[in-house]
Amino acid sequence: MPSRILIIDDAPANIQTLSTILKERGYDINIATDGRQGLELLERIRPDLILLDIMMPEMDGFETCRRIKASTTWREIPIVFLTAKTDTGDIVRAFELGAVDYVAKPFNAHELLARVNTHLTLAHLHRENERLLLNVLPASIANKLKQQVGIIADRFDDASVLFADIVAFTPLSARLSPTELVESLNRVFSGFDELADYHNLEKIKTIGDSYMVAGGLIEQNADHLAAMATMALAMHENVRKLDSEFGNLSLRIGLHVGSVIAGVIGIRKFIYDVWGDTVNTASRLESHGAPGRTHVSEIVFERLQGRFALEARGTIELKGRGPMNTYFLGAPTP
Amino acid sequence: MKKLSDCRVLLVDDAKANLDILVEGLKPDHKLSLALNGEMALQIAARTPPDLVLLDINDARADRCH
Repeated sequence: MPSRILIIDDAPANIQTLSTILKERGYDINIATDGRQGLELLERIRPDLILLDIMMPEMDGFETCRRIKASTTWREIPIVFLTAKTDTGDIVRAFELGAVDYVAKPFNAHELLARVNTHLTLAHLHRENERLLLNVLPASIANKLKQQVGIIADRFDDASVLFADIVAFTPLSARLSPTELVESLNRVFSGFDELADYHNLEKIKTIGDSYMVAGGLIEQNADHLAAMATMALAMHENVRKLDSEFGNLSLRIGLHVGSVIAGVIGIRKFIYDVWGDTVNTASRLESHGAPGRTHVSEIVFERLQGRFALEARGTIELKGRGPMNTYFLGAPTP
Repeated sequence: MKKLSDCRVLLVDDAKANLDILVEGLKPDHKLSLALNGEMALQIAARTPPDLVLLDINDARADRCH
């Protein structure tokens, strides 16, 4: 798709020249003849770059730039000033207002095109970086990471943690080719990713053939535990559907709720992770669970009682915590 | 993430007078590396990678874009 460039300039001769050279290079062009018209146009179109004149009637280039940079939807669009005003003061002011470049009129077409191309490339790389970062971290954590030097760590007093493990995946993996193995894991876990998004829960990570999700962190979902229970049921359902393709697949799930510490660790390949006793207990519930079932703690039982069917499992011994009553989660009660 | 004041700028210019002016202007806000020619600049950049390079084009010895 060709890049779209918005020209904001009041001189017909300039508009004519700019349009011609930019169209020759295959860019899509929009034109506004003053700042106010430019802002109106931005409500409807999404340019990849703006060429902005300074001296214009109605609203001048500086004010236009200031307003574009003050808007969260428009501020990422690179602005290149193109103007006959060449005082150092004007140039500095343009950069201070957030412009990425400044070209003096009369301009050289080759130079202008080279600068436009550079800024389109930089903006593209910036967007790509953002996309990758948001794939790894929740948006609010990504923003914190960009602004803050040092440790990102928060305590959440009421967080739910779920571990899911594919039962007997190891013998299955021995039968599959590498491609088949990754493909089947990817199918299962991508489905879980979608469920986590749908329920507004935070996927934390996958470790081998197990999958970890947390709720009640930054997303401020008051009913995260019920959402997690619903997600657990849907995860079993997902895996049951895949059953026929890969033989006997089933999931063992453990779910617990309590306080956790969440934060970002590492400089490279960093992830947003959670730690604490709650995490260990959830993991233990998973490993002591049963295929096709969701094994939950007593506190989960107390909080979901009446909303979901829950069946007593008995007691399990937890390292350092002694015996603990546990339950199996069933369908939501009508 | 790296603080802006921790970012290193590599200044490449064969005229010492130019370097002096740049150093005076940039020193309060950034870490600086200086090189008098392209070769020296490449050596410095390999040892201490800069975040930005300010590069003069005309050089008595070799064009620095190489």
